[in-house]
Amino acid sequence: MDFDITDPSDWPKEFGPLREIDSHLRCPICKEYLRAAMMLQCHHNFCSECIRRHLDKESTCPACRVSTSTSQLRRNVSLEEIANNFGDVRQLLLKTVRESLEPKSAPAQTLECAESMDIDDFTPQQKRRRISARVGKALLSAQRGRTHESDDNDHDDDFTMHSQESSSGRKYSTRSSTRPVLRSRGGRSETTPTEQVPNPQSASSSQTSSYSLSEEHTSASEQASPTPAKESTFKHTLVACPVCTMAIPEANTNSHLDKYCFSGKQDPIYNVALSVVETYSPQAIATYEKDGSSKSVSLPASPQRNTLRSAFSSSPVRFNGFAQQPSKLGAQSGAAPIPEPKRLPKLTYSVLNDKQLRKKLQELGLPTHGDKQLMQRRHAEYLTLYNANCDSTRPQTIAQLHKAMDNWERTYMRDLNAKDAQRRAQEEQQQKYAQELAQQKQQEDAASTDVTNLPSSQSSNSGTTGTGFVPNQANNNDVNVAIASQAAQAHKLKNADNYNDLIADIRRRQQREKDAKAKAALEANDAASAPIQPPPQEEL
Amino acid sequence: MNPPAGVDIIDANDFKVWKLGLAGAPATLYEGEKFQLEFNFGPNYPLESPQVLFVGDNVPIHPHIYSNGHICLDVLYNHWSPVQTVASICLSLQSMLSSCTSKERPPDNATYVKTARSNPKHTAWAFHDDTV
Repeated sequence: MDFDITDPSDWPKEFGPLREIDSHLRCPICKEYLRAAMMLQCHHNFCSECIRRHLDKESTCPACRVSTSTSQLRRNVSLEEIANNFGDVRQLLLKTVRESLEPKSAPAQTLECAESMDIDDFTPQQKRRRISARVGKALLSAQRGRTHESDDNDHDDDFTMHSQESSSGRKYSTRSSTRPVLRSRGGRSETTPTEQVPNPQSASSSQTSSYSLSEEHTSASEQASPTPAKESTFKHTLVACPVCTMAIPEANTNSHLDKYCFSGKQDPIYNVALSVVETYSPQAIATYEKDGSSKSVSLPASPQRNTLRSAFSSSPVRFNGFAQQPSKLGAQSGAAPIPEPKRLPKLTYSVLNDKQLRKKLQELGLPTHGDKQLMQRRHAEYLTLYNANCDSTRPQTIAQLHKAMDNWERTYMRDLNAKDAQRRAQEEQQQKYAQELAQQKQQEDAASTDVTNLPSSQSSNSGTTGTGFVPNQANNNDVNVAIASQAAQAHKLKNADNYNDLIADIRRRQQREKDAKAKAALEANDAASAPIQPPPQEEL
Repeated sequence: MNPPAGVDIIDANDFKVWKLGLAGAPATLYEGEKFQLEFNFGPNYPLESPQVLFVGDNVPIHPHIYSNGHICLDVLYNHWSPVQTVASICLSLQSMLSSCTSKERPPDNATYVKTARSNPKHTAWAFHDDTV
C-alpha cells in the first residue's frame, strides 16, 4: 500500500498540537481534510458530501446521534478555508517541522558534550556518531583525519590557525566540523552555546571559530547532492528557507520562520534567494551571512521579489501577507460577488414515473438509460455531488461533476455486475448442492427399493407424499402393482427436491419446538444476558 | 498506521479484507489469549458497517460471541455510525471481552450456529444486555 495517504500521526511527537490540529481538520467520516465543511446544530463538522450521504440514510448526527436533517446543515466557511490552506501547506510545513527538529537537537547535544568534555576525554566513536547523523561521508573521512591531529593536543591549534591563514576566503563553517576544535580546547567551549542564539551576531561568532577545508574536501563536498540538510553542512551556513526560499544562516532559520514567513512578512535582513546568493563571490556571501542584504552593497535587491512571487505562484499556497494580491483567491472566497448557486431540491421518487424521472435527468444533462432504480440512484448521487459542490469554497465546474458522475456510473455498474456474478455463483452452488442431495437420495431410495421394504422407506415420509398409493412388497408378483410402484418411485425421484425440502422443513419445525422448549426452560432458570435469536426469517 | 494497544495487524494489504490480531487485556478472563478478527469492508464503508467476526481456531468464549465467530454487538449492526473506525471497533470488542464475568457461550449458540448465514449482518439481532 504505497499510496499518498496522509495521517495526523505523520507529525512528529514533539509537535503534538499539530497532530491535534491535523485531526480536527479532518472529516470524521472520510478521514480526509474537510471538503466544504458543514456544521450540524450539535456543532459537529463533516464534509458536505459525507454528511449528505449519511443523512440520506439516517437522520442522526454520526458523532453524537442527535436527530437532525439536511436542513440543519450550515456552512462552516472559515473552518473549510483553514482545512484547505492547511492541506495546501501541509507538505511544506511537515518538511520544515522535520528539519527544524534536526538542528534543534544538535545544539543540545553540543552543549551536553561540551560540558562532558571538561570532565572526560571524548572518544572518536562519540564524535563519529554525531557526525554521521548529519554529515556526508566525504566530511566524515576528513574528520577522521582530523581526529588524529586533535588527539595530539597542541597540533590542533596550529592546524586551525594554519587552515585559517590558508583559507581561500570561502569558509566552510559547520557546527559539527567546528566541534572537535572547540572541544579539544576547553577554554573556547563557551562559544558553542552562543550558536543556539539565532541572531546574526552568533553567526559571525561561529564564523570566527570556523576553519576551511582544504581544496580536495571542498570538491568532495560539492559533488555531494545538494539536499538542504547537506548543504548546511558542506557549505556556508546559509540555507534556503523552506517557505520563502531566501538564504538564511542556519542558526536563524527558526526565528526567521516564526517572525516572518509564518506571519506572511518579509525578512528585512535576509531577503535574497539562496540560488541568487550562491552566484556571488565568497566574500559577498560571507558578508551576507554576517549582516544580511542590508550591508552587502554588491547584492541587488531586485531578484528577490521575483523569486518570492514565483515561489508562491507555483503552488496554491496563500498566506495572509499575499492575500491582498489580486489572485484567484477573490473568485474563490465566499466574499466574491458571485451569487451562491441554488441547491437542487430532493425529489420524491415514488410519485414520479419513469418518463418524468428521465426528463429530470435530461434537464440535468445526465444519462437517461437504465431502469427506474438506476435512474433514481443516479439522480440521488448527482444531487449529493451537486449540493456538496455548492457548499464548497473551491467549487468544481459542472463538467468536472459530470466526469465524477461518469466514474460513479462505471463503479456502480461494476459493483452491480460483481454482485450479480456473486449471486449467480451462489445460486449455482445451491443448485449443485441440491442436485447432489437428490442424487444421494435417489441412490438411497434405489437401494432401499431393491433390498426390501419400500413401504417402510416411504412410511417415513408418507405424511408428505400423500399419493395414496402404497406399493406393497407382497403384491410384487402382480405386474400392475409393480408398474405402479415404479411409477410412484419415478414420481418421487422427479420431485426429490420438493420432498427434501419438505422433510427438512418438518425436521426444522420439530427442532424449533424442541429449542423453544429448551429455551423456555433455560430462561426460566437463568434470565440473564445473551442475545435472543429470533427465528431466522427465510432460512432454508 | 498505529493500531491501539493489544491489537496487531496481521494482514491489511487490501481495501476489502483486513485481518487483525486481538490480545486479551491483562487482568481479565482473557488475559494471555490471542484472537483473530476479520473485517470485511463493503463498497459503502464507512457509511455502512464492515462485517466483523472472529476467525481462526480460538474464538473467545463469551456470552455474546457465537462459536462461529459472530459477535452480538450493537455498534456493528444497527448502531453503526460512520465516524467509527477499525480502532474504535477493536476498542469496543476489548471492552466487551474485558467486562465479561463468566466464560460461556450464548445460551442459543447451538441453534444459531446451525441456522445462521455466513454474514452476521443478515441476522436480526436483539440487543438487550447493557452491562457489557
